[in-house]
Amino acid sequence: MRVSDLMRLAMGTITTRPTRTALSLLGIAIGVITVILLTSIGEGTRRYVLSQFTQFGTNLLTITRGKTQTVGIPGVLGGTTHKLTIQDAQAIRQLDGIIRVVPVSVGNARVEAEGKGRSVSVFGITADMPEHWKFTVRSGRFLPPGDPFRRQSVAVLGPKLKTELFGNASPLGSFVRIAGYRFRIIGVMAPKGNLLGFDIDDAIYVPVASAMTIFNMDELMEIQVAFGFGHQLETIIQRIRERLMERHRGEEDFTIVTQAAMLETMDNIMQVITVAVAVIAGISMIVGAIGIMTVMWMVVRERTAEIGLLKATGATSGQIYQLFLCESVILATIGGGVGLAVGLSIVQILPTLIPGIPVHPHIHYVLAALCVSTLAGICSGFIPARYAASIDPVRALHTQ
Amino acid sequence: MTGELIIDGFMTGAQVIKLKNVSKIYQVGDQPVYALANITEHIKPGEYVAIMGPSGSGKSTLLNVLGCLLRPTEGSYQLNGQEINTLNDSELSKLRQSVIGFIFQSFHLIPRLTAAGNVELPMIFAGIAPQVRQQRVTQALEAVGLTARSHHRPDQLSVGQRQRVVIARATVMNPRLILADEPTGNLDSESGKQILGLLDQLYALGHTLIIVTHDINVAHRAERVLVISDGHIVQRTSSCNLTPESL
Ligand SMILES: Nc1ncnc2c1ncn2[C@@H]1O[C@H](COP(=O)(O)OP(=O)(O)OP(=O)(O)O)[C@@H](O)[C@H]1O
Ligand SMILES: [Mg+2]
Repeated sequence: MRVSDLMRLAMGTITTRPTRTALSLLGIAIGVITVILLTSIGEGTRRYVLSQFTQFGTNLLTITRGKTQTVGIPGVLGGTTHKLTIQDAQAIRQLDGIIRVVPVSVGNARVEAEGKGRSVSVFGITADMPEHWKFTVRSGRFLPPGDPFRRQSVAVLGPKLKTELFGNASPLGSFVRIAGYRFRIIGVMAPKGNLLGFDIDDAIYVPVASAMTIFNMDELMEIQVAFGFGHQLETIIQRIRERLMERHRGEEDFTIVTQAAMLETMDNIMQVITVAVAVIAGISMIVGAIGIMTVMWMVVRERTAEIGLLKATGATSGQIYQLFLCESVILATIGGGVGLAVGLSIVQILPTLIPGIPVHPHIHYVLAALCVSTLAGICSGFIPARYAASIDPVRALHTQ
Repeated sequence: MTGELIIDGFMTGAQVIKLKNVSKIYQVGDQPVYALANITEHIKPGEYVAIMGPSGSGKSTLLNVLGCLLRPTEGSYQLNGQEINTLNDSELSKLRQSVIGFIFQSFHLIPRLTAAGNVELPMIFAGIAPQVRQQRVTQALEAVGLTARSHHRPDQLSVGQRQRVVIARATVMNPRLILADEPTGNLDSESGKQILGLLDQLYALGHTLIIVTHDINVAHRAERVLVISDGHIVQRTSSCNLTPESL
């Protein structure tokens, strides 16, 4: 039998019962829509998260307290932890290839002004922070450069905090109280928006030494480091590690996190989530395949007499098998195609329906969805088609 | 090729059908049911044979064995010198495709296909090229006088017209052997006569015709009548000697 004839015969039976055809491929279509939708959101989210991270540049390092690899509590089970200090930051700054160092101390505190108060994040940093994180100042100026040990009582407001406390009035020159300490406002940051759901506009920036005093802490939370382009990341890390271990009496009680490592971790997590979501959505295609199998059983039973006739007029069992298998594959492929079209359309219009939702269809998942739906067609058509091929023509011709 | 063998057979006038001690036994529970019992019969090419007998006597079973739809339980069946028992299922399919045409009492037309589509069907499974099929469908429908109805679906045709489509379908592959199981059983007498006329034409063209019937007038058209009872051939007679009493 010619392939074109096979397709035509199979299509003929599909088009004579449009409603039943539609119902039978609904399951597969919904499965494909689900896969495309969920993986597009997964991929969109992954890209969004990555873009959030890479906006700061890739020549950045973060040094945090403690060694993530070591098990046990430092200072209790042998070994002493040394505090991460502003002196450490200054020592790192001296190293070859390092272009910027920002000691960071962060805490939450109540900020009060004009009779209003608000609990926000207080960032203790230095004058280099805006350049490091690509923040800009909207009005006034940022913290002055100079000795990081100086506890100056000046502060810069995040735009949201500024609006909450001062409304439209200019806060420059006014005073706020941070956990009771008085600070003079010298600037307001430009809006930056959310960073992974954390509102960085709702914050206040003060000199790092002042922050440590407010929070009564004698160590930093982290040290931000930027190195010059053209320097090997490994070399830089090695230099920092040697210098800090030297300062911490040979103990490696800190962790150097590279931007690249962070990105990789994030990327891995997001990919695992996307794949998991795709697999779960793929399971819905099993339901679709069962739908097709049910319909194919009905089709074979309904057409038993016809199968008998075809066999009597010379059709081989193999040809009958091909005919019914072809029919279920066509059903599944149409279902997959409909699902693909609808799924991609939804992905297109979703951002206008839900502003800000990150969607990005991934070609691999789209193709996989199509392949799986066709495969579902083959699997679900296999048993009914085999049954059809095995029908005894004499008995079949007797059924009516 | 089987086709050539068959034509040789017809040319030389050898027996087209040789049944030797053929039995068809169905196992119903523990009881064997002999639908056909020890049948030995030869049929020559171009013969017109009617099979008669009471209901349940085994007429359809015999026709299905002759049409290679059923394998005999015992005995040997040679069609054009080929022993059916030695052929596998797909070889039997090929044989049905090229050598045998079936005409059924209940038509067995595919409702969603037009008359032309139904006639075309055996050629599709035989892998014949579309242009050739087109031509042969036209000829076959013309031969049964249904050219004007070629695009009608079965439910848009009278029962007589439906049976004519079935005859077109049975002959479109130009098989030498045509088997008809009560072809006029569902027809009024007028349509029945038309169908019998068409069968006469096929006979005149040299096809071997075997027809199962309850109707003595139908049997009269055949050369020879086989009467079956309980799976046995109980009488072989020329149709001129056939009287209602002889049944
Ligand atoms: N699949 C089967 N299983 C068991 N017995 C069967 C089967 N097919 C046919 N028979 C039996 O074989 C016998 C012959 O059946 P067959 O159909 O050949 O009769 P028939 O002469 O064509 O009858 P009718 O004139 O009613 O069509 C019957 O007794 C029937 O019950
Ligand atoms: Mg019968």
